[in-house]
Amino acid sequence: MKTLDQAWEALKGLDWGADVAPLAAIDQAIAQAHGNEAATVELEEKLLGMLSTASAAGRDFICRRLVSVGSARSVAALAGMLPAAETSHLARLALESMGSPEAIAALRTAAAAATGLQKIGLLGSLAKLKDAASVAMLAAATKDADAQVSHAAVWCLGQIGGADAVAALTSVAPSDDATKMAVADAMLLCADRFLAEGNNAGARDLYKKFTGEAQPKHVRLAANKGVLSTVRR
Amino acid sequence: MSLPDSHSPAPQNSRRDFLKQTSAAAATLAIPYVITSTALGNAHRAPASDRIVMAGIGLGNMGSGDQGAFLGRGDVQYVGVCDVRKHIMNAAKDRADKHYQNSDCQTYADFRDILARTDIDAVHIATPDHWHAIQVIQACVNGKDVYCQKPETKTLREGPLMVQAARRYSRVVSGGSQRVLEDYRGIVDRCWSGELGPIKSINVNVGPLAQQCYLPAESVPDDMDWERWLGPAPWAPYNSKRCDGNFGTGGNSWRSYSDYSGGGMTDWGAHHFGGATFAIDVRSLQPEEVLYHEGDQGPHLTFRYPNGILLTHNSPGKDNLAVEGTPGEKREAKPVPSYKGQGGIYGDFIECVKTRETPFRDIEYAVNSVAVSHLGIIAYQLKRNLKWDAVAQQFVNDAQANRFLDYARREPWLL
Repeated sequence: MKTLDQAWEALKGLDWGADVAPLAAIDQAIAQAHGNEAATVELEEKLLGMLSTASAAGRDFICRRLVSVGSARSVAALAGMLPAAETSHLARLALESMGSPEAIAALRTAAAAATGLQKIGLLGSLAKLKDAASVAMLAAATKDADAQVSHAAVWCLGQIGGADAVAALTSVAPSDDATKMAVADAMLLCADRFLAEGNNAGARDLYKKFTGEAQPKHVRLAANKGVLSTVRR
Repeated sequence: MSLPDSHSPAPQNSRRDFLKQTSAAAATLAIPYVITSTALGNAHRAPASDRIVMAGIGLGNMGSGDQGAFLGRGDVQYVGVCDVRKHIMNAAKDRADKHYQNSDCQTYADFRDILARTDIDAVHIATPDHWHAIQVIQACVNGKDVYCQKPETKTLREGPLMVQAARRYSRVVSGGSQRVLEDYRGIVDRCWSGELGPIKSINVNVGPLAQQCYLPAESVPDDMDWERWLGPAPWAPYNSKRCDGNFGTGGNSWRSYSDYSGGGMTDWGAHHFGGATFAIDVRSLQPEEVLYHEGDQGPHLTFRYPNGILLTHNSPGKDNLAVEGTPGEKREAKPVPSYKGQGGIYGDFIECVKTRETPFRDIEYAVNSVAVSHLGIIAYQLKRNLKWDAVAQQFVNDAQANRFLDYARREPWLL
């Protein structure tokens, strides 16, 4: 216990370049708390209690531990970190790994208000969590004036898939080769998912959009393979 | 994924298509057409139209070795290099230009600019491990074949995404461990010949695990793009030990730190687990269970495969690649798979680029063997047994373990 107390003290003063050996006791405590709800909650609350006053290195350490022990209790504190460039990714490390409805709701709210790089990161987390409720926001983001955001939105729609995502992707008018390739990739992903779900007709319709001579060879090949897959099934 | 840059519209045809079409047009129109000896080729050099056009991404320690191997091939035309450190990139350009006695090799600060070139057939990738998945997948999306250094993945989630991209676009994607076939051939032959009878187990000794890095901040060298070196990894201040490409895992290299590597467990693990899973013929499988043991000599693991074969890690008293067979019982001999073409693992890759066959170190096999490392790392971290559903790519009834399948990429990088 003394060692753990020393670890919490060390965490208070943690900065880049500090001796991190004493912090191993926190990891040991987290491993030992597995299956013990009370012990896990105690650790989570201890970490949360230190989050607002921690240094940059301290926040880094705490958010990585919340990957293990974070729950709905942590969401409000982490949500508060999502808008700022310095802390947004650290908060996403924890929230994305939780993937709970509360975590997703926090990511969605932050994404709606964010711009630029933070918006891209938030949309990416929502896409990875397959949040279908984000499709309308992503559809709007495909028309974002920031080309990095609109490009990311295309990628995200491909990750989530479904008829609404396909409709949003269909309305994208790529103005450069990189975006054309991204749209093709996203649509082929959607088609693959249709196929996996047994929607052969939907998959075939999508694949056929990319079998024409205007497409690069490898895209045509992927699309033609897809069409054949729908026939075999 | 890659984000858009201001690429100029790229031609739709490849360089080889262009050369073939130009030659045909010249013949049809009977226009005098000068074909140089370089273009025609000779006994050591394929004609230009038959060469595989390649570029490199990440040209440090391993990347420069890979570049040398590809430059030395008469059936490769090496045209571009990308690195976030200018002196490394310029040295790589110099090597290519000196080899060809010209100044044609192009330099790129951003790997996406290489992938956007439609004249490039294949790339080799030797960036730190945290970059591999994004770059391999984007290479496939852009129609490139890929030779990727080991360990091919940084997380469990990355592997299937890389395999799916390779399969979707029918790309040849080879992992980069030459040791799997070349170093452990004696053990592989004994297992595959049936000499040892049915295999019960094999042991791998490798380590250590990577650590989190809280090294102090240093000034970023003028010729380095630190933001791009970090890429999808969490932000951290520059420190020369954090990003050094030496092969150590004791704290003086990126291989020591968990944001960029799995430490020795994945670095040498890609070789050893790769050799072990080849020897016991489970390259197409992933373990279904990891048992965590505490002991006087430290923790160690047992991986159980669906066919019952055991793979142990750091089992006390056992040598690396020690195999336990079943003496007295017969096992049917099987021919040992090997490289295609000439020139080891590099020749295997190039041959498969030409023939569209599956390379010896196909990305799926590479992913499966590095998955052993990742499963082991998570078991050591959580200090408990884990059940693994390889089809669902999820731990069974263990929500906490499932949180370690992957990590959130730092913006703007997405996977």
